[in-house]
Amino acid sequence: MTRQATAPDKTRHMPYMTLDDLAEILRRRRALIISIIGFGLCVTAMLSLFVAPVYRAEETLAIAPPRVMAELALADRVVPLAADLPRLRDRLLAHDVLDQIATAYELEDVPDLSGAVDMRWDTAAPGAGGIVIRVDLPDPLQAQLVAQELSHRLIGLSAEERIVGAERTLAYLTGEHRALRTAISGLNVPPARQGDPALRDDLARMRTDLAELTQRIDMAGDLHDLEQRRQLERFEVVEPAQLPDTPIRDSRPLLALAGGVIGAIVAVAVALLAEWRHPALRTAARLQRLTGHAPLAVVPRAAGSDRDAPRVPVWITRIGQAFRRRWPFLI
Amino acid sequence: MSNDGYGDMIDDRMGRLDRDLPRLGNRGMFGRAGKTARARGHLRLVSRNDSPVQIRTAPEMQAGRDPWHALRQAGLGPESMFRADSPAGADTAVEAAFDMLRTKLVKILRTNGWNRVAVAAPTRGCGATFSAVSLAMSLAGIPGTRTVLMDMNLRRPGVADALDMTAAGTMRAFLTGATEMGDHMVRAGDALALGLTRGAANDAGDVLNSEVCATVFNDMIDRLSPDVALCDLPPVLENDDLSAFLPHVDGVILVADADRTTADHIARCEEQLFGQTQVLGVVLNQVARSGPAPFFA
Ligand SMILES: Nc1ncnc2c1ncn2[C@@H]1O[C@H](COP(=O)(O)OP(=O)(O)OP(=O)(O)O)[C@@H](O)[C@H]1O
Ligand SMILES: [Mg+2]
Repeated sequence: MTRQATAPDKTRHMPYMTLDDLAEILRRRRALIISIIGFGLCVTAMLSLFVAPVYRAEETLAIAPPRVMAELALADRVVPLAADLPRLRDRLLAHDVLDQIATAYELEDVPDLSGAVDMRWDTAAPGAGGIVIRVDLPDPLQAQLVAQELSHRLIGLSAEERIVGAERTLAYLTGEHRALRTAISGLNVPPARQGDPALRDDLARMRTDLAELTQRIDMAGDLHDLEQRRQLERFEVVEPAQLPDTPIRDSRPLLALAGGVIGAIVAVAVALLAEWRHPALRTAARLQRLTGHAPLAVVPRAAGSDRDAPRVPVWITRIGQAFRRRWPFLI
Repeated sequence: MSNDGYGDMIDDRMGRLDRDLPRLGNRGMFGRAGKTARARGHLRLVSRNDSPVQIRTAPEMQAGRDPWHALRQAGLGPESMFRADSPAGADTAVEAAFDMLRTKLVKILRTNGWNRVAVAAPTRGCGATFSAVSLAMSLAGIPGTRTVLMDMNLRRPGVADALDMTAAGTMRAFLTGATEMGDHMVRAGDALALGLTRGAANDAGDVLNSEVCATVFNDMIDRLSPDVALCDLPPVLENDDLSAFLPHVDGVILVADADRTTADHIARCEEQLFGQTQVLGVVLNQVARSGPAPFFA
């Protein structure tokens, strides 16, 4: 009577788990489970403060054809603007330029601006393709402003390069011209060779060169003038950067979900681990199954026992108390 | 117990106790049983065929003075949850469980001619004291019987607190022979005698292991001749204070906490108790009422 006939000894201490057992474990350790899930959510909420959404602003530029049709022939002699692009890109996205921009737009908290900006030739852009300047930043206004700034700088850079190039050509030709003229005027022919046909030929060729140089200088002067007035090939904004209103990427909901899911998995694992480390008897059936004793009596928890309340783990209570001690005005 | 005549007397009372059980209207709370018990008090010394029991072994009994009646009366404190009029209200399911335990226990004791039962849990807080007191209350509800409840958990006594009573002295003083039984034990009504203690004794092991303790305990049982003597013990697995005392009880009721006690705890208790006394059974305490596996399943 005190000892029910026991099951074969093999199975006596075998703590297998039924689905009901599992449900019971989860129910009994619900305070622990909820605490861990809440903790996971808190951690991811804190993380998401650092993981801001990303807003994208894009400004599209195109290469505008020369404005002066008559000068097209002239322009043929000029390197096409598209050929400058790789170099312009390198100059535009150079570190010192980006540092300047970061300082000007107060982007100190963006760790890597060069990773957040891009400039590329996009054949899908409106018109016959164009240059797209793309800026991804946590702040939509900053993204727009930086895209506009970069585009502005690109136009400026290219104009400056072109003008400087034209100036350099002009200066070179002028130098050549001057040297040739000096050579001609300083050419003092000894009287013995006056009328030497070879000498005459030389002089004639030099004069022709000089005339050609003069013509080229004229042309270079015109080009310089045109570049300065922005009449030749140049970048033009076709689509200014808009203020983006929706982020292209917001990992916060995903992060929260991950926090919840990972929290739940960890919570259940911890509950099962706790149960595995400490498999409480719980029910008369389990008592009999695990020990072979039929209970003499099964005493329910007296009504109003404080154990009926879900048991919050001690460490949570401790954290709460510490919190209250430190910031009493908060709670 | 060694005396045959005395044994007969106990057996006789046990028989009545056993027969009386089904008829009991009350749920074992002391207060409600008082009047009936008093009215039927004289039946205690009357045998089954209504002739007076002749053989008494204790010297006081032979002298016509029953030490049971000589014990000082003390009531349950107002805050005790075991009072019939406790403000918390009686939990009928809990009471029913202990009434069932009482019935089973009485049968076991009667079958074996036993009367000393220890109540112990594997670890602290499982409800050994709660169970011992509840069971004592249930037993005391049987009119015309005698139940003794001793708080033998000297390190962390709990019976006095549970009953909201103040002990006059310490159990340590009683068990070391420093205090007389009459000065130490009190009676709560006609059916229940209590051995309470105040404060904690840290040399519990030495006290319980001493010869004096066994003598005092056996002498107490002999003189009060209870139908059931319950001892609230400290946790079995916590320290081995009990090894020398356990042979003086007839059996142990293990109280398992449904939420905390594991099969391993029970196994280790059985191992520890093996050869010293037997486990009468396991009481599964603190079973959740809700959830997929209700306590009555
Ligand atoms: N079935 C129950 N329903 C409600 N409360 C209970 C139940 N059983 C025990 N308790 C409560 O649990 C607490 C611990 O119980 P108790 O003091 O009886 O444990 P114990 O095993 O004697 O512990 P200790 O080892 O400290 O002596 C007490 O407050 C008691 O009232
Ligand atoms: Mg106790």
